[in-house]
Amino acid sequence: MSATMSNTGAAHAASHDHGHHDKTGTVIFGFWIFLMSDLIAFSLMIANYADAEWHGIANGPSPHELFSLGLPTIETMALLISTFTFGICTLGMKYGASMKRTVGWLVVTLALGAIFLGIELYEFHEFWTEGNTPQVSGFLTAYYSLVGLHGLHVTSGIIWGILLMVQMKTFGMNDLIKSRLVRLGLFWHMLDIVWIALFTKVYLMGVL
Amino acid sequence: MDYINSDVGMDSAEYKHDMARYVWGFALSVVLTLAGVVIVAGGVFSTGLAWSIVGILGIAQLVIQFWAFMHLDFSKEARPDLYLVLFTFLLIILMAAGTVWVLADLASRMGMGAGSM
Repeated sequence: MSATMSNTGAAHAASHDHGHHDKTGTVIFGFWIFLMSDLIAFSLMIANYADAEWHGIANGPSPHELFSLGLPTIETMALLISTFTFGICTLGMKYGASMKRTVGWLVVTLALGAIFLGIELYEFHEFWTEGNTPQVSGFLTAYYSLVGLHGLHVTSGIIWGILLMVQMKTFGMNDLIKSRLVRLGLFWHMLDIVWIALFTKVYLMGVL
Repeated sequence: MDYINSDVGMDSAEYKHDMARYVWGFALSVVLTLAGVVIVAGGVFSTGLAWSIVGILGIAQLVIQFWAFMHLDFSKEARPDLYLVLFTFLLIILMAAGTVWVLADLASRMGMGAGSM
């Protein structure tokens, strides 16, 4: 970290521009540290789930009996397309796209996130009304908390995106707003990477 | 690396170069996701083999998305991020594998069916 600080100082002496950009870089690196700690939290939830679906079926259904691949695959595709559209959004922003284009792709991304959430909640509702509530077994407790935690992240990403659009309209596309959009983008990409693990472990391996 | 500004516009070669990385990442992710679904739904392979293939496809997609969307590579600019991610995965392997080990051991000591496989 001290190396980064002294680099910032040297760059600042050389050019006014660079000092500013390095601050953005430091803030983004700090956000990476948050993302990695979040990733550890998710991985331990997955480890807990892996044991619960193995030993914690009790009198409830097994993953094989509970899950099918249809809806989760559509859900996965919606989130995958959304991580790509967020990339289009932030890349265009960096290369001087209009605010209209940037906001447009952000809206598409958040809408796909909402579709993802809708499918997830529909599945929760289906399982729940069939009597497969979290109380039934350790496996179901772990399932609702793991997938629900990811869904909660997507929900907060959507709220964050809406707030950011309000800020864009209010303050314009200044460097601070751009930096915030890049950080939301990293958060969103991270959520799709976490979903790869969930889709593989919970659904693909569950159905096997 | 500058994350938020560029001296050139969207008609530049740099933009096309950066965009190609996103397109590759997306295309490969779609292929790997669908391959996993087809392998599980097709039922051609034995359960153990299908489990392993799906796991490897998932890890491959994870690496691809870190590269394509989160700009992780061996460049000097991405080096601090790369070290951070590698250290994080070291922690994850230790803690996640340790968790499964302890819980499975506990289950087998308590005589819970599947654990004593």
